[in-house]
Parts: sequence; C-alpha cells; structure tokens
Amino acid sequence: MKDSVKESLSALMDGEVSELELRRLLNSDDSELRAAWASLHRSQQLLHDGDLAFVEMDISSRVMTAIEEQPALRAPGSGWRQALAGFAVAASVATVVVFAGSERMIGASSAMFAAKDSAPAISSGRVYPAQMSSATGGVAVSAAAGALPTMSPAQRSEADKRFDALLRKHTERASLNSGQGFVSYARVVPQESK
Amino acid sequence: MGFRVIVALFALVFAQVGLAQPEAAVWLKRMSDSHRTLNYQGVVNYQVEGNTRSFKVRHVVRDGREYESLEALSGAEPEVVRGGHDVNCLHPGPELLGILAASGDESSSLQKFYRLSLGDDIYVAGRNAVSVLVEPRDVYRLGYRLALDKETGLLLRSETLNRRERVLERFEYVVLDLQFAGDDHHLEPGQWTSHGEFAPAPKELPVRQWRLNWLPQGFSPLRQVGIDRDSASYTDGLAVFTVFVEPLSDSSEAAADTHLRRGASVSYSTVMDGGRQRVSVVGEVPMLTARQVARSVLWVAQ
Repeated sequence: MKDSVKESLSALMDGEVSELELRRLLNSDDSELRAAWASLHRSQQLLHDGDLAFVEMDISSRVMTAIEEQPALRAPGSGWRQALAGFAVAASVATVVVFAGSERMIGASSAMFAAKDSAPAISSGRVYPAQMSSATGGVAVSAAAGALPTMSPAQRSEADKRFDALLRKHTERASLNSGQGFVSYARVVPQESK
Repeated sequence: MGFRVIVALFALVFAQVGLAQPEAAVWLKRMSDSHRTLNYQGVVNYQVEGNTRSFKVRHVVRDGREYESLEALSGAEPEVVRGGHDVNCLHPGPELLGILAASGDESSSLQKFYRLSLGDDIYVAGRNAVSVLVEPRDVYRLGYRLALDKETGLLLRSETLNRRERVLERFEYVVLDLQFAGDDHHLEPGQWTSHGEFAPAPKELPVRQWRLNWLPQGFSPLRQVGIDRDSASYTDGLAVFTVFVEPLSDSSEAAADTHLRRGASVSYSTVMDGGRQRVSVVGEVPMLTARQVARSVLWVAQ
C-alpha cells in the first residue's frame, strides 16, 4: 500500500482529512487498506486507553452501501444536498465512541485490551453516529473523525485574516494560563513575509 | 505458583507507574510557578512548520510585580511586552495545575486526562534538564514533551505533539541567564504595555445569548481574564481554547465552515443561528475538539 494512503488513513483518525482524501479512501477497494484501517484503529485505541468494541467494524463498505441506497443524496445537485451527503459520509465513517469515564484504571488497561480484543464484528445494518455516554461523564463522538470541508481560496484568505485576529486575542489569555507562559506570544508575532 | 509470580510482577510494574505520575505532576507544578517568579533572560527559538524564529525573552520580578518582554531578533517586528502584572495574581491555568498536582485523588487530577511520565535527563541551553512526557488519554487534547530545568523547574523546551506524535511546534531556549537582575531602562513606564487590557473579573458573568452544549471533560472556564459577551476561554490546566461569537451582517458572506492550522494552534469557524452568527473556536487543541465545541453552541432564547 502506498505511503500516501497510509498517511491519509492516519489523518482520518485525527479528524484532519480533506473531503477529497476521504472520497479516495472510500473508493479504494483494497483489502489491505481495510486491514490497515482496522490495525491502525486498534493501535490508536491502545495508545489512548480506548474501548475496542468497535475496532473490527469495516465501516467503509457499509458507508458506500448506505450512500448507494439513497439516490437523493448521491445526485449531484444543489449545495445543501452535497453538503448533506458529505456530512452523512463523514458521520458514518466516524463511528468512534470514546469512553472517558473513570472506570479506566491506570496501567491496568492492557488486561482490558486482551479481553476486548476479540470483540465480534457487527454484521449488518446501517451505520449511525454513535451516541453513547456513560454515567461517569464519558462523551460520545459523533462525526468525529469525519472529513473537513474544503475551502475556496477566497474563503481561505478571509479565514486567515480572522485567524490572525482571534489567535492574538486567544493568546493574550492563554499566555497567562497555559504552562508555557509568555513565550507563547511568539505564536502571534507576524512573520517577515507578511 | 507461576500465576502468583505474574501477579506480583504486574503489581510491581503498576506501582512504579503510579509513583512516576505524582513525581511528574510535581515537576509540572514547579514549571507553572517558576516562569512567573524567577528573573531570567534568554533566547528562545520558536520552530513551526520548518521555520525557526528567534526571540529574546526577559522576565523580571520587581516589588511583587512581573515585567516581561519578548523581542523578535529577526525582521522588523515590534517588540511584544507585558508588564506590571502582579506575581500573586493567579490565573486558572497555573492554579489548576497547582491544585491538580497537590491532589492525590485520581478522579480530580490532571492525570485523569493526561498520562504523565518522566524521561531521561537531558541537556538544554547548557543546563541539566529533566524530561516530562505528557500524553493525552483521550482524543480531545494534544501531547507535550517538555524539558524542565533541574534546578528551577523553568520550562526550557516544549514540544507540542499531535496524536501521530508529530511535533506541531517547538519552543526551545538556546541561551538562558538566570542571574539576570533586569536593567532599570526596561522597567520605566512606557516601556511596558500595561496589564490593563485584562480587565478585572466581573462579579457576575455577563449575560450571553449562547452557551456550549459540549465541553471536553476537565476543561473549565477562565473567569478572571477577558470573559465577555462574545467570547469565553477554557482550560484543562495545560491546553487552552477560546470560543468567539460574532454577528454576521450578511449571512451569505460565510456559508461554509472554515478550518485553519498554524503550528499547534487551530481555528474552526461555523455559521449558526440561522446564518446570523459565526462561531469560531481558536486554541491549541486538536481540530476535532475545536469543531465539536464550535458545533455545540446553542442559542439561548431572549
């Protein structure tokens, strides 16, 4: 498998993949890629003490099925339809549930992984964004690692200016509150090229 | 028999993990105090996206007040200064760090959201340093690889990492002088911008027409600085993000969501309230967090 595809997969895990990349990933009919997705997902979950119940799901095939079942969403048409389709894709792919409750024990997680590793794949049905929360305050992630919207150059330059102004205001507060302190002002000193 | 040995081994491993955590937390507490209470000057390199820029940093405490300046050493940029800030004025971040480090209760500590560990001793800016690894336990925060001065706890190097362990930005002292007493020239009025832009805390929170329906666990609002009708900042003791709300005169001017990244800082903007308001979340968090927070804003009926 190409490194670029692997890179896109990891970006997808981080919720930082573009819509274009996501489509390419979904269109790919590569079993190796699917396996890589599952193993990447598992290793990420291991890193973050997550729950492995959903690891074995191969979401992409069902996402494609779901899209094909809905001609209205597939039709190239008005903006809102495309937007909706994009959102549906993102939401479906990103069925990631994060349990952030206190039931997790420090260091004891490896034993939990062993038990959860053989979680059965969920075999059929449409995929909906998970909405679950535990009593201890675990939060649900819906549409978590979905695609980011694409931006036009005009939008980008406008957003860039706004980012400058807001980042400055944010840094005034953050520098007093983050451990990095005053040095974080370096983030907002304009570069020479600008 | 074999089983018992395994259990004993596991117990030993977990006990050591348990010990390393509070020790690392104590170092973090020292870090949050030292950069505000020590006198120092030095040169810091700020590396982001392959660019390195150097800044001269000075920090002096005089008569219980904190004066600091940051001066870009390349280009014609203006010096950024802040001064006259009361050393005893604690802000929620350091305060939170203090409380979290002092608390042994797992359920209320920073360690619930980050896995802390001590790494090898290293050498930064000519000083012996201890390395502290701060790994997020969930997907809503970034990780940090820190080098703290062994003698004072001052942060000598800070790397912010994303979930793929890629360094998003790096602050690093290359020269540091802890004997700096400050020269009077730099303490003259007019040489420092006042701390007045951070207005005193209002007794009651201003009435806002919006609220967040979702916050990552462990984040709490900064009440002391700059909270107003149109913005609010939140911290978990390490990471900080700010939510901005601005009215849109023309709803068509920003129809789609926008997202940008610069180093560890991201911004995610979305249009809400029937196209009348733009919500932007800016901060040093994963894009995922910024997006989820932005999209969770609810409008409160007047």
